[in-house]
Amino acid sequence: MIDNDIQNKDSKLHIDPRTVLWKRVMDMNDRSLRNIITGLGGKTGGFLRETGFNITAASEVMAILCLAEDFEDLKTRLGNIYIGDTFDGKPVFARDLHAEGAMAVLLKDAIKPNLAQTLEGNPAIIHGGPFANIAQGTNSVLATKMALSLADYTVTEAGFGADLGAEKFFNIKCRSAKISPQAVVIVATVRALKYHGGVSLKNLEEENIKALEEGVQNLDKHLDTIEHFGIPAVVAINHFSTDTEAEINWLLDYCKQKGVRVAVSDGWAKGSEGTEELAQEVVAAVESCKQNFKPIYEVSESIEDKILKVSKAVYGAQQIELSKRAKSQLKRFTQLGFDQLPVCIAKTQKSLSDDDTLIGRPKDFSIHIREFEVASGAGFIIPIAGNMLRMPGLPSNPAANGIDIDQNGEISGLS
Amino acid sequence: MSTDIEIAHSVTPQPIQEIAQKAGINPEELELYGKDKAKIPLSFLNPDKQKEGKLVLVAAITPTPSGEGKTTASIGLTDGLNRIGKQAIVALREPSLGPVFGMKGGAAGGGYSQVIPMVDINLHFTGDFNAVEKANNL
Repeated sequence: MIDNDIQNKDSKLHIDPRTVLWKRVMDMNDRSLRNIITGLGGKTGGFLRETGFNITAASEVMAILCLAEDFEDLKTRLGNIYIGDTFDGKPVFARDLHAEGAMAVLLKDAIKPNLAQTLEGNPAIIHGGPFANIAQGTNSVLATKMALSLADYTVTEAGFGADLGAEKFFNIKCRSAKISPQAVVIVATVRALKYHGGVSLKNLEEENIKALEEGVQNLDKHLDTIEHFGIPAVVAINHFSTDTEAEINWLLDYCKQKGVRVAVSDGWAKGSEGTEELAQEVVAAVESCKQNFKPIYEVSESIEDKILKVSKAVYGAQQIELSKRAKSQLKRFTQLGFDQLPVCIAKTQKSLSDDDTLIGRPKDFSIHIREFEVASGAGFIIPIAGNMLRMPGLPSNPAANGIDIDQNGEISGLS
Repeated sequence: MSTDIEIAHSVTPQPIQEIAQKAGINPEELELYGKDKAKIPLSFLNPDKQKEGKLVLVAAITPTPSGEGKTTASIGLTDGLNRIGKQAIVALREPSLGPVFGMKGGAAGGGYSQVIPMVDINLHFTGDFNAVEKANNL
């Protein structure tokens, strides 16, 4: 509809094609579509324009679908999508193109939560899939509310580490949906903690308590973060067959000495038999929870203050630094009234900092905001710290190489 | 050792109507997508019950290439809660096809803590991603 409006000589909008931010999406990794030129083919092919594709999970429509409370809210949010500017520098929204009604029609079934089951025959609601860096990284609000409507306990997850997933779960999703968890489970593995303690990937199967002692600082930081939100935490040690008894016991003792609830989670090998103890710890944590979560910031604060508060409390940074470009964008966003939105900071998931080589619990670092994007429909500002790929490529040996189907329709290689 | 897909296929899914009944949904009101997938009408949202329901968030330490298993732990915890007599539902994200065919793999859990039908969930499932794509590209 955007390119069609640009093509239409009678249109009153006068969209400047050079300013259009809205990209097409598809659900496959394809790096060669990241940057493309559209509108080839002369007059009938439209105006030449530099654009690109994102992966569907990175679409603002996905973020909106996952925050919408009902059709009315869905349409309002879709209409609020900022797509670019006019030749006079005025912002253009999806509602100016009257796109939101038709978009909502296309989402009429997608808005309803999907029901499936676990291997043990318990209900599973699987719905929505936004990215956890440039979006909120958790299933739809409607799925969570549906589960809460149907069950005594709802278990949900947030993408990447607690610095990204849990922070956005609280500050964006819970704030928007007016919900609050009664317990947070932090999944840790002996292998990953040893990796944070400096052990290389190929040596992770060797027992190494010393590395565990060093790497456990990463877990400490995430536990501190959850404490900031005021919700009780439970550590789930996801058991791998290569973990030694000494390592598991060390980690159990470490958590217990800190006064943190902890249990080994062995659902991978044993199903629910391996998670009974974890379930009991979680029930105890839920019953001990006396309050709703405390947000790290208020939306009425300045964008810079919001970023600073998250950077300090959640990442453990000293300060934030904004590029010249980011500062000038900030001025414009404030003029447009976007400064009253929560922030959805896009940074690497591999480190608490914005430098993915800094594993463990980095100290004395700054968070560098290179630029901003706005998801005014979803309802957040995206400060970008580092390089964010919204259209991934396939690796040199993709999983697709090992995926097959035989004459009887039996599929292999999916994991 | 069995692969995830072998374990997933070793279990025959219960008819989705039976799963719905466990969640207190009248099977006749369910919108069926085959035998083992369905959409739940929004009329089953219940604001009073939502306030009473307990919400548990599963998060993780900083990810490493060795994998942490948040989805596996979430599914395992849900089965564990049901095992100790608490009525629990797991709410998860739908996998994206990019990672399924790229590097990370699917997002339906692993080992004996998986959601099924695992192949469908990892592929087109109920077409939600397709609808988002079309709405975005309109």
